[in-house]
Amino acid sequence: MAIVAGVGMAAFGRHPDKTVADLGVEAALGALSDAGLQWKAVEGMYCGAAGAGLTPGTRVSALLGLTGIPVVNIDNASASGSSAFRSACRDVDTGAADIVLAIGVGKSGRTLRLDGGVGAPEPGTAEYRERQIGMMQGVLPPAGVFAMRTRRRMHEFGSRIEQFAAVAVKNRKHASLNPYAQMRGPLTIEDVLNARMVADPLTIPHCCPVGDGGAAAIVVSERKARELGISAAVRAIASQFRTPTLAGVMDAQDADTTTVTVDAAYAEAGLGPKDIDLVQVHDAFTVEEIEYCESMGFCERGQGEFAVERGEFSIGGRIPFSTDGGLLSRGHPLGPTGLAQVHETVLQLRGQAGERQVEGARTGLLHMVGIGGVCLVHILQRA
Amino acid sequence: MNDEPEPRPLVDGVFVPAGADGTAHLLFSRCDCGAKAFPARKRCAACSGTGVSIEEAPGEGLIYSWTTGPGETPRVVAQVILANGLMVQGYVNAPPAAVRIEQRVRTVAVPAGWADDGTPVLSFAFSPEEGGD
Repeated sequence: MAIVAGVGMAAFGRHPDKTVADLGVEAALGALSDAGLQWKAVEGMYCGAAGAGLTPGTRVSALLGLTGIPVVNIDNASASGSSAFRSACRDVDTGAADIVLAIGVGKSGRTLRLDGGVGAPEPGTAEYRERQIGMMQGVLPPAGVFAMRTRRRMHEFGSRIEQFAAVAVKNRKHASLNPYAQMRGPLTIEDVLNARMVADPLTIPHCCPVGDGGAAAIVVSERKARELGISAAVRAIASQFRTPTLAGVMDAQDADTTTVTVDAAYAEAGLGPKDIDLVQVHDAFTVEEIEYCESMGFCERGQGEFAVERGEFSIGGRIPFSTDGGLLSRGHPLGPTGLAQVHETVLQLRGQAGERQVEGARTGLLHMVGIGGVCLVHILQRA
Repeated sequence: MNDEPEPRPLVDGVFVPAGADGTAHLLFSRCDCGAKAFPARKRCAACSGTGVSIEEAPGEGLIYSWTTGPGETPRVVAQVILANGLMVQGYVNAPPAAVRIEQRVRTVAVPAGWADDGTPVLSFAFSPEEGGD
């Protein structure tokens, strides 16, 4: 089974003085140092990034030193870093390599166009027609679809916008204890409600910030872990990856895909929700943490926002979610986010999470979704 | 202007502008296997088949949920479940205060500017029924 031997991060935030590759080097060196390994020992590397230019991982490896190893660059939108981590684990599990580096990098300030182009598409092209059809269906920011999911839940379950705001407030409180987080200042329910509207009923603090950052993990085989003398090893006991099926084409596709992916991860690990001590979830918008906690089996459908309000997902609560601040406050530079979840979970399972430590944490669940319906779930466990 | 050309849809194959009753109809694809999609697909999402035909959707539906777009006077965008069960998304011809979930709407054609040759073009929107339910 793949063992996470080291983790590292370049703090999420604004780094105008560093290139996207510099952020990757910083995270990679952190992970190597944590594992007690040299770059020269790494046999292969995967880099997750979304819209960060051509082969960002290969630029990182060139800065670390030209050792000639294979470097694969993965773009799976928000789930790019999780995809890199999964690939590294599989290389180790199949025996293809004993030491693999997974990194994720991201830098804001680029306008992403899903069809890969820059600026507006040329009239007369297929991309132009596709965009016009999209505009006829309503021009919305990314928050738009989640705003509609929020309003629908308020209608179906009698919930209130304050309960969704409670996710942002909780995750900010967690982030205030995390030196790697992008948003650490105080945040109240009133602050959330009074902030600028993005897509009614969602204001800015209901939406994650997209900043700059890097994160990395060194994955090694059991044999190499013994050789390195790693005790209390953290193992990846489940790694599952799904894209949507037709069952989920209504408004809650990501939640449905999450249900399928999480169930497969529970089956692979031989565990259920009761065995999980903490969760890192794809909370790009407040309603997402609420919907996915239900998909993961921690709440009945329609109960998520009430559970958050009662503090059940806070550190010290029934099942802590987003202990590092989540996408909402730790930040979401796209590429590295899934590996920031690995970083946080490994610190928690080792008992090294400082003020935000979840007492006695042994098993953590990690979840990311990417635009287009990509969903990855990992379960990490301390020996 | 007397000689202004007849308006036409901004993009072909998305909807049929209003008939005599003022109702526009979205064009959706129906596969041999029964699966429906809007905008229309050439290859079915359910079975990957290409035995797909284009049909006019019913002009009536219910608002499933809604939000607002960007700007000084944000426009309402809604998810609507049409009478044939298909969920579609588009603008609503009403201010936020006049829109609610489960509201009955019908599909209408709305002006969407002019093409390069000066022809007025149309898009579609959902118009709340008079008098509510």
